[in-house]
Amino acid sequence: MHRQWRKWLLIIGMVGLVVETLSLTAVAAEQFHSPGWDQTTQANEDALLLQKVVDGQLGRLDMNQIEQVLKRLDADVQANLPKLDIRSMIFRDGGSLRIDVPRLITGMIQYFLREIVLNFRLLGQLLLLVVLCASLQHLQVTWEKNAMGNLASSVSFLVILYISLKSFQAAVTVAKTTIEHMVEFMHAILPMLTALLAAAGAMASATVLHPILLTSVVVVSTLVKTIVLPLALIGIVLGVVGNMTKGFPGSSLGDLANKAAVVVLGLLCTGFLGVLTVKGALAPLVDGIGLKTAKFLAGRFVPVVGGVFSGAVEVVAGGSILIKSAVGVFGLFAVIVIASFSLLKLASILVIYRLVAALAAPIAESRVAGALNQMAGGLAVVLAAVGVTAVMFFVAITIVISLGNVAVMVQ
Amino acid sequence: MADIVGLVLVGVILSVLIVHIKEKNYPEFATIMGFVFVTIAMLRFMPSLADLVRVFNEVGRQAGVRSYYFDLVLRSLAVAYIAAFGAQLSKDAGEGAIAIAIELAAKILILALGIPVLLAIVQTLAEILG
Repeated sequence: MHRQWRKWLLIIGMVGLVVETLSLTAVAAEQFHSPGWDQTTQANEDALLLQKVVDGQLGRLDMNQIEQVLKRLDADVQANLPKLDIRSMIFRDGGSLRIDVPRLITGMIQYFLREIVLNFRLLGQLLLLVVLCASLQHLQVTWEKNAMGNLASSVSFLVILYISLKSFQAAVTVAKTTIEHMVEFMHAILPMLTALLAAAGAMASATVLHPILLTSVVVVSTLVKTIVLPLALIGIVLGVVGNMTKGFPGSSLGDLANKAAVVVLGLLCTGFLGVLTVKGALAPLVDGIGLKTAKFLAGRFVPVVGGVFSGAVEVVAGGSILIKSAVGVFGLFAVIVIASFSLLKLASILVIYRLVAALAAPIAESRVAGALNQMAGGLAVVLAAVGVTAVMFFVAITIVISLGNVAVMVQ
Repeated sequence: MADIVGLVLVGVILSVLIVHIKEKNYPEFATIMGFVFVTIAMLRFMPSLADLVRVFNEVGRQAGVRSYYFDLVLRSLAVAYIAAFGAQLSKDAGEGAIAIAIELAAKILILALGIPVLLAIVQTLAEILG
């Protein structure tokens, strides 16, 4: 019941994420078209100036790191990522990420179905062995209960266990590499975002947030990798061993470890979001004042060209905000795509485990179904760890995107 | 259908005969007759069993189960079956010690068959944790 609840929460969360990104792309679009930028005296000249400013800033922006991280991703993920072309995102596409949402969703569904079909092999193998062992065991029941028969059926149980464990190992590897990819991506994109934040006039936000963001990303990913995932894995191993031997009460210990992993994950999520929200709420006000002062000083104390200059400050800040929003939206999208593909992969294996466990329960011994259910439970925790990490990174990028805009709005 | 009727008929007649022989103080003949019956019955029904195994193997090959695992399961079950027959015959003959020896040998053999898988599982678990 509890797991069911968790799973639904995860699904709702993922749907929410997708909707959120779409609305954020809309926000990025609005920013460009919002009248704030061309309310000055010569709208056309300003637009040209903005384009020049954006071009100049983009020329100095080092995208190499992000591109390198993206190159290392799986082919499936790469195929579904939009092109990292900030300039055309801002100008040519009218301020939106060129995402073909239906195509992406059909791509994901296709991927999920393909994974299920791929894992059908696993399903077939497991079910076949379960049926074979069960039928051979029924032959045996007609005899008197003997130790040799038990031993022989233990061998078949071990074979079933081994095959399912191998697939489980593959799934865990997928989860680990996904978290690593996301962390690498965050390491590449966060410095760029905070630099742009600073360029947009939000100096205070940038100086306060940058170390906090980087530290919390590192802390979260490290804790997930060193505490949450190992706890989930220990839970699974204990559960599997508990099912292998009758006297050893490993299953309940395994459940305990699983629960501990979920609790740690929850605490981590709460702490991360709490820190980011508190820090993110304070800094922008200071920024707004800073930007206003710069404009005011330029307007008052620089003779003749001062008025133009104070306008230019705004345009430069606006250009940085545009780039930052574009890069940020791209980052949000990349995090979603990176996470969701491996989540789909894990989910398909989870489905197979549950299916085999349900089908095996009436025909085979209880320990076959027990072991498979244990593995499915552990895999659910691993899945939650990947999902929650993705959500946290997502929120971090969202906060950086919204910050600079607040700074400009305050003035 | 006809096969099983024949087998049951022969089995029942032999059982009656064996009881008769045992009463006449020729227990060794009783054991030999039992052994011969079991062997013939097993050989008689081996082709059907072979068909069964072939079907399982075929399905397993289609499902992509490595034949090594299949062999392992079938082998361990075969060892258990054969040893069970032998142990039961020895018990009927009154030789409990021999029966125990047969059972022990069978257990060791099955364990030896299962050990590679067990080791592989332990290794996989260690890799997952590591």
